[in-house]
Amino acid sequence: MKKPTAYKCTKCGRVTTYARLRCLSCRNERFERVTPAETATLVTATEVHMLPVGFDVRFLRVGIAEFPDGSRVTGWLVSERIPPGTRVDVRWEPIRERDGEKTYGFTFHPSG
Amino acid sequence: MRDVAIIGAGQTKFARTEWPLVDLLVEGTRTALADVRIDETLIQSVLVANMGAGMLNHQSGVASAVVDALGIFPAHAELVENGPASGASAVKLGFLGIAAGYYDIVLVVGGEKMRAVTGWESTDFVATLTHPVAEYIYGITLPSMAGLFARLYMDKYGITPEHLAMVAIKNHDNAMLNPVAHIQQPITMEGILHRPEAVVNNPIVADPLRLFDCCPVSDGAAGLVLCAADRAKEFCEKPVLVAGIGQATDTQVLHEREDPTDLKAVRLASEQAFRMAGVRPSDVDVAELHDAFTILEIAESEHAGFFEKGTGHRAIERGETRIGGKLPINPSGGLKARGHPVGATGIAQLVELVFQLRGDAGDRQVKDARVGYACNFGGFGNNVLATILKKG
Amino acid sequence: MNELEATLRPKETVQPPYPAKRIVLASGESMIVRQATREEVPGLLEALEPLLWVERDYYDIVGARTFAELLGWKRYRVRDEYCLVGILDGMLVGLVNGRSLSRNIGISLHTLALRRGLRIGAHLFAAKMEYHIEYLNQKEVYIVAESPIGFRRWMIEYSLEERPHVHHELGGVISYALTRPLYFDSKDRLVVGERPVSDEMLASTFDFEIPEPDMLITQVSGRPE
Repeated sequence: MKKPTAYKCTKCGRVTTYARLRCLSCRNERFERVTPAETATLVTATEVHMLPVGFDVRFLRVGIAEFPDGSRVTGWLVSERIPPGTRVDVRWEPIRERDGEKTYGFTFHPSG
Repeated sequence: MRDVAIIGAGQTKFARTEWPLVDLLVEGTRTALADVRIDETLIQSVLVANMGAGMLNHQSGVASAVVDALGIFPAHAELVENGPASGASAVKLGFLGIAAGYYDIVLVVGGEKMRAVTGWESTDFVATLTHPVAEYIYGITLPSMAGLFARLYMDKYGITPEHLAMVAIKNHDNAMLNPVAHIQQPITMEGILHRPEAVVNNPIVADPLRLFDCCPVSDGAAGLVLCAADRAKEFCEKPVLVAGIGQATDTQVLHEREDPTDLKAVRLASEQAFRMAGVRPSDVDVAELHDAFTILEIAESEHAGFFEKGTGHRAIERGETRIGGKLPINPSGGLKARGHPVGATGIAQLVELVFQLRGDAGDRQVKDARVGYACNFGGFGNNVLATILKKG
Repeated sequence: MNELEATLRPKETVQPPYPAKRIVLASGESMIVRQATREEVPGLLEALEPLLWVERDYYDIVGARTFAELLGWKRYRVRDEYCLVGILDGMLVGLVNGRSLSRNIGISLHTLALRRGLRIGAHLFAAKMEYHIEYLNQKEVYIVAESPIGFRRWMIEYSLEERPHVHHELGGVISYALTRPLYFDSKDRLVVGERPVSDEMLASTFDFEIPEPDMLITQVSGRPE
């Protein structure tokens, strides 16, 4: 099973869930790879009906979740609507297929 | 720095058009040039604000093409692309060129031909502003970012769908008084929110935002002629001064912001503009805010300093932001109803302010307007310009 | 009617009428949706005529085909066709048409909004589906789209089922079907309106006006004014 990679600044410890040239907090250019936690708290979510090219579904639920270390991530909410503050399990799953290749991304599932 | 004035202003009717992009931009320049008595050979530079020429219209070298179409060689020409803030950025660069003494006269035009493609292709085009890995792959679009923001902001400050609807209704009403507005269609609270039919009339786009909380996709162009202030009276009777410009950036990825409800870039850009202009928010008589989504008019009005954080929606309730109210906001109809051809918007906001400050805004005239403020919101608030104009 | 004409006319089924309803639009105005009569077809054709040359958004093909369908209906050369019209303040603002293929299967033909910005097309399409499922009591309705916008609107919005074996008379592409379960699943968010409509209100919808051609073309294709 594929695991996601997050990037922790070697100077200030800030974590981002995607690769960056420089740390957003201290502009350091060195990172260590870490694995994000498997649970997070939903910060906000929305059900999107006006979708761009490549999505032939009626709507998508997208959200922002916050890990225990304070870093945040954007991903798909795979559930009925749940309120901000709900604990979610965070998975790294195929979310799209483009040119025959699977694209992985973060998905949020209500915990328990 | 030299003082800079606006001596000509104009825009095309925002709508869907069959005109090719360059023709549309040229028409934008012609509306501004028609507003001023100037020998066009005096124009030293043309700045073109546009975001989609490459992606939507398969064109490059657009600024050079505009100079060619106008036949005003050997004027300098550049394209300015700063997403939805392209317009104000182009004005800023024109201002700086004159303030530094490099130019005396600069023509700034912004335009977009969004309707060359389908709605979901234009949604996708605007979504390229988002981070390709952290956001775009999830189908994140500007409406969805606005939905994520709106949910947080509304919960935090007790803003209701009715407050958002009030913004939309006000701006649609204002656009009825603006002959160049894209959408000239009054709407009612009943029809968009309270009746059972609202579920079809006003469907969810990115909840809690609905169709009438979102600006339309528009084609159009707007132009300004900037001039060294000490020469302005050679060309027009009522020059308007560019008194202050501020700009600030913030994180591209919405979830990286310390507080995703804090429009820091709006606040910083506004503070810089007010400092430069030597005025305070309470001195502003009329404002054009970037209401691509109704929630943004409320949020920007607070972050610009016009209302305390969390009280902007109360001001709307009290009618303070209507034409005739304490601080009219978006008398043009705003992006919501005047329309939002992305590259044109920042310039169209200033065109409206110029008309207001000159006393030429017709039925939507704000009485005794002397100081105007515009906020041009790039990306989702990660590159914002605030511009302050003063009656000359 | 002479004998030859009788041979050329299809045998029509007696179809229940579509009861008129009132829909309050975003503007707060009321649009009445009711069934059109054959006698009204000349007015409808006159309204459609300017669209025959508007390429934008496939108005030409939709306009031309609808024109032919309504003419065919008027001249008794199509079986079991109907037309619903949307009237706002005495003005024709949209129309939809379809027909019955059989007792259980309907065919959706076209949807045309003559005024934009008030979701008139969405309301009228939903009224058409309401007619087929709830008043004609059909099991499913075959639908094809002629434009990308139509495809996204109807196929995705209603989650229609594919019917690859069905050749819809409007196209050679895969047909889709709105089934009774799909309709009732979507009804709450897509089908609205109030009945009954008062006699007075209904009477105001007859002798409707049609949009001025120049204004209509500007509305639909955005020619510079």
